[in-house]
Amino acid sequence: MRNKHYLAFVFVLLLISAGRGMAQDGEAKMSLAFEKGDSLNSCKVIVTAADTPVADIDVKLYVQRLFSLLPVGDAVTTDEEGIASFEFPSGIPADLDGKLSVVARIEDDETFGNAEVKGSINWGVARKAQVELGRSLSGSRGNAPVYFIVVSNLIIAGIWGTLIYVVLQLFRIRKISRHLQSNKQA
Amino acid sequence: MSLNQIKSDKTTYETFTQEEYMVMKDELLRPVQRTGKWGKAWIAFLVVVCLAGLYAYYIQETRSKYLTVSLRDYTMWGVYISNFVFFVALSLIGVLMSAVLKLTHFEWYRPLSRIAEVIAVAAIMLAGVSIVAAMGRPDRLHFLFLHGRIQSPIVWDIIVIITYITTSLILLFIPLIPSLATCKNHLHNKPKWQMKMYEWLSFGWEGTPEQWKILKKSIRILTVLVIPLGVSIHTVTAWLFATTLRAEWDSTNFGAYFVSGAFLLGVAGMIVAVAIFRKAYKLEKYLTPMHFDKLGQALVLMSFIYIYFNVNEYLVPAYKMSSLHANHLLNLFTGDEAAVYWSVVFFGMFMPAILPLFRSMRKPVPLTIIAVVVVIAAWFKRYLIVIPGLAHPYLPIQDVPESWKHYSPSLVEMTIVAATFAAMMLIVTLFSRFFPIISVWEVAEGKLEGKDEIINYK
Amino acid sequence: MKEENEQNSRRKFLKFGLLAGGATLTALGLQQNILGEAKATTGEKVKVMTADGKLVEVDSALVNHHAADTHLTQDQIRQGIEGRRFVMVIDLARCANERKCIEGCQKMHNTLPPIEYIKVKRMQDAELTAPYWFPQPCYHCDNPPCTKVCPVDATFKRTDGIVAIDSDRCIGCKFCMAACPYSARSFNFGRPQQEAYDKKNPCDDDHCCTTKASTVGTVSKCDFCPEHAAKGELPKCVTECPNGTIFFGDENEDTVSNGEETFRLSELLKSRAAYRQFEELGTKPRVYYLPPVERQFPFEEAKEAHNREE
Repeated sequence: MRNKHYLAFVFVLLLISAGRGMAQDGEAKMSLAFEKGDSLNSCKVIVTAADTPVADIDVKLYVQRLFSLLPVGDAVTTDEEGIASFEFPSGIPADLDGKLSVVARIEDDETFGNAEVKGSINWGVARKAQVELGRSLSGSRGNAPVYFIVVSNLIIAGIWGTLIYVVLQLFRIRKISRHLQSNKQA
Repeated sequence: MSLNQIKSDKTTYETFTQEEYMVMKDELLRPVQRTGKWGKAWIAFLVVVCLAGLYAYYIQETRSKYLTVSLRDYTMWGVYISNFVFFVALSLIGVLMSAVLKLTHFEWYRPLSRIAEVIAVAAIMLAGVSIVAAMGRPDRLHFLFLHGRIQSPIVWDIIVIITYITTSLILLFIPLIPSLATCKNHLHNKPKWQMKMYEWLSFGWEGTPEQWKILKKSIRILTVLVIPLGVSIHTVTAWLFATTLRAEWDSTNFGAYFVSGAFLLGVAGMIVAVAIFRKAYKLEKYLTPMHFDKLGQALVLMSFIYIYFNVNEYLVPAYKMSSLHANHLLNLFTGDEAAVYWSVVFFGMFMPAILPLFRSMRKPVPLTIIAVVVVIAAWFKRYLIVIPGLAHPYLPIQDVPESWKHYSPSLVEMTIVAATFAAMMLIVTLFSRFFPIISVWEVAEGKLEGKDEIINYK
Repeated sequence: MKEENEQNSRRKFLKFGLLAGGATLTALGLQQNILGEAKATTGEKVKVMTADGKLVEVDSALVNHHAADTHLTQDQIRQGIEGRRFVMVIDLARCANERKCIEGCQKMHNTLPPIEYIKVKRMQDAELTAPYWFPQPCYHCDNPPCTKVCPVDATFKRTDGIVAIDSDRCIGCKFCMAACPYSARSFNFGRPQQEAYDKKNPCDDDHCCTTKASTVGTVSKCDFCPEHAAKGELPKCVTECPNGTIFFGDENEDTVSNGEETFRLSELLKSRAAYRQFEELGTKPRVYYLPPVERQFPFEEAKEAHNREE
């Protein structure tokens, strides 16, 4: 069964690359430039083909996420210099090291097919690292609230202390009797 | 005589002579001395039911529970859990019929206290058995001790059950010490091991004033301790339900509601037990119509308290009829469970509240019949508390087979439940065949002190 | 301990292979070979693509047919995936009761109907309001009533927000099921059909999540498929839905995706007036609903009753 799946997968990959080859007239080269502004950051995507700027082509900008690419605004068309300018929103959570992986793409273009460039910039808000699960009633065994452990142990100790005291009294009963017996014998 | 020694300052009551004491001893030791034909048949019957239960449990654990048990994802708790609640409730009989009466100086408790305590011990043991029967993985029972989370109400319940069993056993045992000495001295023709057991368990009891002092003090401490313990064991049992977010159990009233129900069941259970021991062991002289009269009055009181809590529990939410509660409440009032619900209300609460108001209904026979009905109704009451609500969760039950929507216990489940009852009665019966079921010294002491309630009852 | 380390290093190695190849390809099989897990060749050739995009033909035995060895240790199961806070958003405007999420989930978790970790319910809040279809997984609450009552730590909250179950620990008391106001949990009563199915389809590491549904006498439920999430794969209920009803993501990344579309979580919740089921119970679910307004499909009643078979 699995073999079949993999064969199908490989076949699809082949198709994609073949399709690419047919549609592509030239290869678009993309590069990323990040500009830090006073109030707004921006990200410029420069598209060139054979060292000349490519104008009027739709570029999309994404941020890499765990499961997918998160689009940053709508697609932007390049100007005469082959530059697509994106306003880069603030407050996008970054990876644990504070970096954002940015991906710019040209998708299904008639002339250039697909092209993509990746970059990394430390603009994001650093994602919270491991959140410690605090002490709570719904926490694990080791995370019971302190007051809870103290109170319950006090109650248990109090009651069991009393029980042990009573049992010790019982043995006093026996002791008294043995004492009597030895007296009688004497 | 040891009793006379310490009570010598109270000999002004010329109501109880040495001869009378000897007669009493003989009468109270008679069931231990000799087991008749019917007595043996009764024990055999109980053993057979217990074995049937063990076999049913074997089937349950070795075959698919989907087939042997009627539980499904929605009604995941069934008769085992309601049976557990019933037995925990029954175990409060020891608190009410022994400790409370003792502390409040109701002298008629004297012949009842040991019966109540042994039922309490047996009931709480079978409550534990019911819980194990309900577990999906009984082979992992020890995980409760290895990995127990103190935040979980089940762990509270385990702790309080173990504590209550221990306390009840000690409270049963301490007043038994003088009786064991009596057994040792007065029983004859008994196997050697049995006499050795009496010898060993009587802790060298000789009835010296100092020994009496220690005994009385220990009993007093335990009697005080067992009341909050008993209340908490049933309150924690109520919390197993009330700490969830389900509408049918979402009540601040639940602990008190459970405890009041347990007291009603306790009185009814006591009446049944007294009636049986009275007839079977010919103890009419000690378990008198006076006891039925008093217990009948207690039954009325407890019924009214229970009705009060039921009004709070059902009618107040019904007045508001919030949509979260509505389908559960309507199911009880007018739906599938209405017949059971209203039968329980009538037979389990109103009948015992009203009938024993009449003196003629507090005579042994009618009162016993009333009490039996109350005990049965009490079992169904626990069924109604635990089960119907589960089939009415907040989100509708859809796309499930028919058996997932309605629960009715399977044969295996009912056999195990029957076996828990048989085992409970077996424990009580066997106890009464090895130890005097009425405390000889406590009754003698009562007579010696000439308590009016006992002597001058008409 | 040693064995565990070896497993770990092997896992890292395999992950590296995954990244390099973009899929589970020859590289993995070859690396396995290097690691000394000699396998008999089968003679059967398969075509696979290498990391640099070349197509080669290799023996079938060299290819790792499993996605990767992702079996997690007990500690990892209890800890959660570092830095993640998984969250789900369900768009009620898109659900057409096609029940594909249920089927995908059942396949993933080796369960047979009527066990459904995700259910689709017909809801109608009042007589005059419109009915709608309501997919309902476990809500992985932040104030979970189920972990609160568990006596043995068998169900627990993880740092990545997931409420998981250790089926080797569960004692089967079913208290968590009683405590869950959403009836999200399921108990393995050992239904014979399920038992037979488990035997026929043993749970592989690659194919099952942390919650082993096959342990008789224990509780199981939706587990948000953390082993797949760790690999950057969406849960099956998300990917199987033909309408993109279910979005899954990481709250810390402020992003949810249904595989096709990706949104910023905060903006999606704000713009669509999201809500959580029974907010008043204080359970703080990690599953949000977008109200069924401007629906993509008109509501249609179910044509047949499901799961009738006992």
